[in-house]
This record gives sequence, structure tokens and C-alpha cells, in this order.
Amino acid sequence: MATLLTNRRMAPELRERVERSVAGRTTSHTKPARFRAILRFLFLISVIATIVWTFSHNRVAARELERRRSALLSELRTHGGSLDVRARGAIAEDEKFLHDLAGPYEGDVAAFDFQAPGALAQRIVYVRGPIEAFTSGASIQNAAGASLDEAFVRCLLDPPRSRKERDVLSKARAVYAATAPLPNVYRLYDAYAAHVFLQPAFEARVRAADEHELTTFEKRVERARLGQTKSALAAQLLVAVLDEPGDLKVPADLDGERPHDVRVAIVDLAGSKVLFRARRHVDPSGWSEKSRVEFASAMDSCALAYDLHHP
Amino acid sequence: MASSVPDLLHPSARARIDGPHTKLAVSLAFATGVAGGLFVEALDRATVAPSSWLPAAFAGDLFVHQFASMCFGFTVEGAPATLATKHLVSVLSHPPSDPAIALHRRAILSELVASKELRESLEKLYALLCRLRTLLEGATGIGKWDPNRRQLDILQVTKEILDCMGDRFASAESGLKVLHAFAEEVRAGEPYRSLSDLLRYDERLATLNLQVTVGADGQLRGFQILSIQENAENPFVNSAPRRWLSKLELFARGFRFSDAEVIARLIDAVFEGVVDELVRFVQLLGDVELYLGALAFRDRAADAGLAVCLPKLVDASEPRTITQLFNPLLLAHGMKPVPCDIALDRHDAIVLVTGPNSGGKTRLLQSMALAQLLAQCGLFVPAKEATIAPAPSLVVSLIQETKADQAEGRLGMELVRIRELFEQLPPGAMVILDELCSGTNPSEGEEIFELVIRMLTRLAPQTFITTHFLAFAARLEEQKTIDSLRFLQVVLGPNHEPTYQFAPGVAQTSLAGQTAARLGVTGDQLLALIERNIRAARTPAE
Repeated sequence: MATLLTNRRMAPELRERVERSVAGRTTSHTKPARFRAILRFLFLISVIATIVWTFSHNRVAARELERRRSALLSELRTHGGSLDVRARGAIAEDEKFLHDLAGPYEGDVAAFDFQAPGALAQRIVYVRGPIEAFTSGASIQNAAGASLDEAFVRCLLDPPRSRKERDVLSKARAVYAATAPLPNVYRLYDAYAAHVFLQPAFEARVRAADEHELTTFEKRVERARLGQTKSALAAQLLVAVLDEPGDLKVPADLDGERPHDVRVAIVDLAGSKVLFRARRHVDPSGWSEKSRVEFASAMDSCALAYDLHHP
Repeated sequence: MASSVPDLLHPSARARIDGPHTKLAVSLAFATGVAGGLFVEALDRATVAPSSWLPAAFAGDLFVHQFASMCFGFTVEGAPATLATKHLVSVLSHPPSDPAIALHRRAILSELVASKELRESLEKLYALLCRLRTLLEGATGIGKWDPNRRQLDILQVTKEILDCMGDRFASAESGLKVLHAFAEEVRAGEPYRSLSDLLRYDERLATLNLQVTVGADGQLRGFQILSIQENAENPFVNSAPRRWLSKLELFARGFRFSDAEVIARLIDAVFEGVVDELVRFVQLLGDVELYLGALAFRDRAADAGLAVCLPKLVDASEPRTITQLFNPLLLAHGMKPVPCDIALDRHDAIVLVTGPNSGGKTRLLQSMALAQLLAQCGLFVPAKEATIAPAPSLVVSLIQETKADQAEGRLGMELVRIRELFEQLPPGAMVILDELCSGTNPSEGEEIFELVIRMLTRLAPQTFITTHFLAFAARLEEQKTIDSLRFLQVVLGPNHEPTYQFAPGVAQTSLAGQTAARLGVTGDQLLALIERNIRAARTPAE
């Protein structure tokens, strides 16, 4: 059995003896050495196997991580790539219009024809909130988060048949009972929710993310509903309803509704132009007690929408 | 492995120790450093040359063991040598039947006496063999903690032994030349070259050329290695990466991961090549011990003003002449023996020795027997000059201790002793008997005595018998009816004191009265003792 202890300069007889010495003779005192050798061999094999398994596992994990990273980046690029320049700056544009609308009232604008076919069939981004919430980007985002798909926008797209209490109540009930989202209306919050994921900076973070961070990003992107965001950013119209503070001396209804002024604006986002701006007063006192208990706010919203359609 | 055996005791070399057993013991001792008594055990069980002598017939009465341990003791490097006494006694007690063996030993002793250098070389060789024995039989000092160091020391001594044998005995012409021949054969072989290479590897793996700078205050300021030169010609030198890989290989094979393990494997391989030579050194130690012991005996005698010699070996019919024969046992006990001369016309005579008690008769018998024994072993005899006729056997009966379980009385035991003598006595043997038939009344004893003598003549032995049957001896001398009978008597001084010299003839008296007076056993002395005891009995106790 060859050994590294021998070399060519050694006499053949010496080489043989060195090899015998290394191999161990068949005497009892060499048995522990052989046993030790077997143990060490097994240990060595297990160490090598562990290293190979770890290396292989890490390689598979790294490959899987890269695959997930690529998938996420691909998804981000798919959604982000379809956004045009206007869509990328849509939030800033929306905030600018909302900020202006919350300022001193600049008077009515009536360049929007509610009766025109398809006028409200365009992609709409909608937000409603107290007027004081629309003073800065952060507060607008908070207001957008609190703004739901509520009665006004539904009634705007599908107004009550008349302003009679019976028709308005019926519509308000229908609005509350509706579960299917409106096909062309998106919340402004949708634009905020995933807007950050469509920015190049987020791509850079995804590229640098480890497995844990990537998992977090994946979950956040999954929850963010990029499709909704993209649609919200690509909306053609901004419909904003800003509730001015009501008269605090008048008791509020159970849903918080009380008489107050409401600013309504419809903005052509593609043209960066306010198409409609109006300031209306809503007052639930005109509705019967029975209707107001549950539907004061919805009925005021639907009545307002009816009024816009029928000035 | 060398084909020859460095046997100093025999002209035709023979391996006398149990080779396989000793090889195993040496290997274990080399590996463990625990093998107390390996050499002694192997030598104790060593065989000897064929001999017709039966040690039981003489060794006890001649105190051969005491003689060997006390007369053959010598010092090595200033300390008393630890002799393998049993082996020595075994060799001394078995004089070889082949006379060529004795001549072989005599030639070696003659050369050692003639050449001071060869004797010093033999002493040096013995000292090295003792060092080897010490290293093999018990790990001491650093060897306890560093087995490799101890094993390298063993290999170093092995090489020194071979070099000593090869270099210092080249001029030998006697049997000592086998040492040179053996060493040359071994040194021409691969195992010796590997041994030398390994020792060089141990001493000089590489040479560093250093430059050290010292400041004015004597402090070390600079230290620079100018060059490193590995001893690349040495077959044990491998490159540094290969040495590291070797360690890894050994670890995978179940050994330790260390430089020590690498050198241990190499030591093991080199040792395997020379282990047979080490086994032969065990036998050689015993051989050298015999010669140095004989020389020490010679030195001890010379210090006491006595001389020893290698006797002239003659035929039994030739005259026996011994000059200044002394008793080595007395010398061993620190007494200065008085040498005597013995002159007889033939060796194969029956010599009756008579004389006073404490006249040296028994000491003479011991001296004669020991001289015969040593002469036939090929060693120095305790005499300035001597002629010795080799005998096929020796029977000595000097003392008869009374044993608690003996079945017979004193006469019965003597008769048993006579029966045993004839049972084992071959023709021409040497017989030494002290005070034959002294255990019965003289008239009956003399009858048995004469019967024994007449029977002995049929075997033509070399016989020495002491007796106090003076009248009987005188009658035999006068009658001359037994041709081979000779008589020696103790020579007395002017005041009838023994001179420890011997002359032909029969003593007139045993001087028992003189001996009794010397020991306080006269009538007046005994009477004085009796009266003292009576007075003591009458005096009341105080």
C-alpha cells in the first residue's frame, strides 16, 4: 500500500518496511488503530457529506431565492413597465388637485356633462374625506385609507330615480347591500398602497434582499394588489368629495351625519383640468326619522349625486 | 539480516538464544520501554556447546556460582557490571566436549591479554551493549515521556555498536575477528544505511544560515535567516507539503496527526530492518561478559600478587605440573591464598592427600577441580603454570551436609555417595573426594576405602582423595600394590604448623592435638571450664 512517507530515494526494502509500518501489522495492538481509522474515515465521510449537503442545499436555496427574486422583479416590471409617465406621477398630480380643492373655494366649474354617454364610464379614482385632511401628502394618504367605496360614488354612477325619500332610501339600501366592486372605480388608497413597489428604488431593495426580506417583500406585494394600484394610477378621472365641517350646534344623526357643506370635484387627470367643481349643502333633516336612523349619510350622498345629475 | 552470528564462544558460530522469543521480546521492549530482564532471561535460557560434564556432580561443592559472581565481576564505566550470572555459571559448568572450542576461547583471551587496544575495544563494546540493554529494558528520563527519543537513542547505540565492532576489531586475528566480519556484513546492507540516514535525518533535517546582530549593550538587535538548506540527499527528507500530507494520511489511517507520528513510522521501519542484529547483541553481551570476567579474574589475581595462566593441555599419561596453584574462592573472599606447587608423574593417578586438619587439603581439592574446570572451558586457571589433561567429567564431593530428612546415618550417606559416584563416572574422569569413609570406625572404613580405590583404578580417573586414615595410607604406600596410587602430604613448618604446601608422601600425624589446643579442647582447658561452671552454680544468685 503506497504511502506519502516513502519516496524514490528510499531503497525498495525500506519502502516496503515503511509501508508495512503505516499499514500496521496483524497484531492485536494495531487493531485499535484500524478501528480508529474506520471511525475517522466515517467521521470524515460524514463531514464531507455534511459540507456537500450544505453546499448543495445552499446552492439550491440560492437558486430558489434568485428564482423568487426574478419572479418578483418580473412582476414589478410587468406592472411598472405598463405605467406611462403620467401614471408614474399620478399621485403627485392627485395630491396637488386635492390640496387646491381643500383650500379657499375657487368657485364652481361645470364643464362636465353628467348626462353625456360614457361620461362616468371612464376609469375613476375616488376619494372622500373631511376637508382638513387634504392639506398635505401624508394626511391625504391617511384620508385615502379611510375613504371607502361608499354611497356617493355608487349613486353618482347609478343615481336614484328621483329625489323622493322612497327612491333615495331604496338606493341607499342597495348601496349598503352591494358587495361587488364597481368595475371602473378605484380608491385613491389603491394608488398609494402599491405605488412604492413600482418605484426603481424598490427594485434595488429587492435585488439586495436576503431570503427573509424577500419573503416580506413578496407578501407585501401580494397584499398590495398591484393591478388595483396600476389601474388607480392610470385613472382618467379623479372624483373627490371633501366634507366641510358641519354645524356642531345641530345634533348629529346616529351615523354621524349632520348638515354641512360638501365640495365635489371631477378632475380630468389626463388633461390636468378640473371639469367639475361645486359646493353643496347637505342636510339629513329632510328625511324621515325612520330613514335617518340608519341611512342619513347614504341618503344625503345619494341625494347629492342625484342633484349633480339633475342640477 | 546478516547471515553470520557474532559468536565469540565457538569457532563455528551458533545461535544459542531462543531467536524468535527474544526477537519478540526485543520488539516489545523497543515499542514499550518496559521489559525488565529481557537480556538476562534470554541468556539464562541460552544453550551451551555439547558437554559431557554434569553440573550437578560438581557445581554445588565447587561453589561455581560464587566463583562466577565474585571472581568474574568487573566494572564498566566505573560501575560494577550487572552480570548475567546464571548464563556465566552455565557456560562454566559445561566445559565443551569439542577441544577446538576451548582452544578458540584461549586464543581470544591470549589476544586480549596481548593487545591492550583490543581489550579496551571489548570493554567499550560491552559498555555500549549495556547501554543498549538499559535503553531497551527500562525507559528512563526523557524516554519515559518521549518514546521516539528513546527509540532513536536505541538505534543510535545500535549503530555505535556496529561501528565499534567494525572499526575496532579489524586487526583481530583470533575469534574476535568475527565481530569485524559481522559488522562489515551488516554495514554493507540496506538496513544499516537506512539506520544511518534516519539518525542523520534526526540530527540534521536542514541547515539554517543565520545572521545575528548584537548591539553595543550586548542585546540582540537583529536576527535574519540568510538561507535554508534541506538535506535533500537523505531519503527520509520530504518536502514540507508532503510532510504535512503524510500527517494527514496517518491521521486517516488511525494514527495521530503529528510530526512525532511520522518519525515514529520511520523509526518502526528502520527498527524492523535491524531487529535481528539486536537479537544477536543479546547473545554477544553474554559472550563478552565471559571474556571480560576472565580478564577481571586475571587482574584480581595479579592485584593479590598471584598469576593465572592458560594451561598446557596434555595427555593424561603425562606428568602433572602445577606451579603456584591458588584457591580462587579464598581470593574472592578477600583472603590472600598461599599458592602451592603440585608435581606428579602422571595425571591419571589416584592421589591420596594426607595432613593435619586445617592444613589446606580441602582447599587444594577445590583449586584442582576449579583449575580443571576453567582449563577445559578455555579460560585462565588459578596457577602461574599448569599442565591439564582434559577429563570427560568431574565429580566433586567435598562437603556432606546433614539434612533433616536424610534416611541414612553418616556412614549410610557416605555409601550412597560412593554408589552415586560410580553410577555417573566415565573412564578418565576427574574425581575429587574429601575425607572418604570418615563416618565409621577406621578398620571398617579402611576396607571400604580400599575397595573404592581398587575399583577406581579400573576407570583410570584423575583422582584426589583426602583422608585421615594415615596408617592405612602409609600401608598402601609401603605395599605399592596399586600402581596408579600416589601420595601427597601437607608440608609442616618447624613448629609443626601447616605451610599449605604439599610434598610426596604420607603425613605422620593429623596434629589433632595441636588443632584441639588451638581451638581450646585440651584436658586442662576443658577442666578449667568445668570448674568455672561448678563455681557459678554454687554461688547464690544476687
